Amino acid sequence: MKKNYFKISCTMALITGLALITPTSQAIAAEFAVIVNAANSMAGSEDEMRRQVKRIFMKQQSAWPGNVAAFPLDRSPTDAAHQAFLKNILGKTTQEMASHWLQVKQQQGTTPPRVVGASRILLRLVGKKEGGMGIVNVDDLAGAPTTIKVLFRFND
Amino acid sequence: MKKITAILPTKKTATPHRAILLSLGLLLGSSILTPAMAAGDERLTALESKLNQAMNLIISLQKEIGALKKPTGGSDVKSGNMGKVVQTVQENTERLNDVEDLVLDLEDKTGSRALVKAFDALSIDIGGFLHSAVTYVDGEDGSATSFNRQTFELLLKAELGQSWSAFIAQAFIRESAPIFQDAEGRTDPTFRIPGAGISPTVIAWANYKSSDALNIRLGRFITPHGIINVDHFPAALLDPEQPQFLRPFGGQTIFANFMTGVNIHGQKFSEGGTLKYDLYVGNFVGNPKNLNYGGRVAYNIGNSGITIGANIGGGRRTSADAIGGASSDYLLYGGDLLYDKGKILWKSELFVTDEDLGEDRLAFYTQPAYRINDKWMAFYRFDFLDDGTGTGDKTEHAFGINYRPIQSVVLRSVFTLKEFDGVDASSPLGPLSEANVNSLQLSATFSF
Repeated sequence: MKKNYFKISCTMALITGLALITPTSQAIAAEFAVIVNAANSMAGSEDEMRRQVKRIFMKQQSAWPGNVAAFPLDRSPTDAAHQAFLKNILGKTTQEMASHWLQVKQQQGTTPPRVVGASRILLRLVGKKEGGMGIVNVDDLAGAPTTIKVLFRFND
Repeated sequence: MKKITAILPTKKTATPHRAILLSLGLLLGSSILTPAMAAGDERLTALESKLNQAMNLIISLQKEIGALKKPTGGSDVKSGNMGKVVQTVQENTERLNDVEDLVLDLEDKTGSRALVKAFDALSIDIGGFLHSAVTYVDGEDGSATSFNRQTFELLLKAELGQSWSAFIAQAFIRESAPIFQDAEGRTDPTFRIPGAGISPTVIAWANYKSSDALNIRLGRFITPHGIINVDHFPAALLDPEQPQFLRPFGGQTIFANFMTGVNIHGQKFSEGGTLKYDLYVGNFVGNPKNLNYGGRVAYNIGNSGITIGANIGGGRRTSADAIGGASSDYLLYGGDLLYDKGKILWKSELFVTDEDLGEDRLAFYTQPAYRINDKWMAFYRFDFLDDGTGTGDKTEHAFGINYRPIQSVVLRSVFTLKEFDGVDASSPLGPLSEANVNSLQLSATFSF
């Protein structure tokens, strides 16, 4: 009978341990990066960069410093990079962004940034367009072309 | 090499090293035996020559062995480094998948359809919306119901160059506005018969962008005053029946809703927020002989969600010829306040005019709205108008709810209580009695 108690105790301890470990491992935040073309002359504090990136993504600001036409690119709505960018850089919900795009479409025919699915293609596009800007998971930066650079990083 | 290996044992396991040693042995052996069989310098010279040949052969063989040991292309497989090969294949497979996904997306979008090319523009975006409404009006002497609004509007934006663009909004409207058929025009509702079928060009401008701070727009544009007139389109409005001072469509109750002329606009960004300005001069369609002018300056305070605007304008409402030479000049002053953050969206505007003809005018509304969730939004609007006609003030209380099953569809239900103030006999148009009118409008807007 004592053995049974011992087995049950061990099993419960194991389950409790697993339950404690699992949320910890899930809570590890993913890291993302805002990338721009290597020729981009944007400089300043990270706060200033975040403000400009927000305005450029929302197409309120149409050019980078140096009057280079901005070419922001988005990720698919289900992509973790898109969701983290929405929450942490834009500070908007999906609904608020949809309203924003609806409004600017009707007022001046402005469309949302083009969606690019694959990180590799995004990296190449940003590297090709002087005003290019995109969001990637930092894991995707391994082997990135030298034609891009990281403006700043942010967490999930 | 071949000659030597031919006399070596044919054992397959013999290595090049062994072959070299055997070759060397044979040559050395022969060089030892030779002096014993022959004498003289000639033979010695011959032996030295053979020794040199043997040494050269050894060096040559060593080089070949070295070359064989060096890594070459594809040597990962030979050297057993399969991990690296598998990784490379995986990377290439992922890249191929990305490219295939892209091709599939393109295939979905284009398929076997004909590709449309703009004549001269770099790009063209086309969209629009459909808007339908059914309205029930309940007055003190009757009621009426009608599917009274059907609007189809096409939006077209063309990029002509890096700094040049054009935007057009072409509307096709069938509507029958609610009116009152009693003598005082406020108790017996009906709908205007016949309903109007009109196709106004709502917007048609070309824009030159020097920078974000300086844009020049030429053509027909929405008069840049306040908040809701700029929002304008039903798809972006909580109540498609705009505040009273913006009715009727295309009118100039307080200021002309649309203008044909020049609009200089831009914005300047700073750490604290965004400063936006609009200046315009142009003609109202109802008075093409005289210019109107005005502008708005607005400041958006950083991430606070607050935007404060100040408006000023003026011009002539009607050509003097049409009113016996009288002046209908006016000056416009106004302010607007927007709060848009989190669950709250709150718009307020106030305008006053100084009129040469008739009474001065005053319009005010405040419209708080609450985002219940991603699909539902509720609002209330208090709306006051003194239109300077001497027919009494008009006040509206509107309660509404918006539902977005998907982002491009808005379904609305708006209940409005309208109050007409009474006017006594001393007024040129008096007396007029007080009246209340209730209305309920269900509407839907489909954007594409």
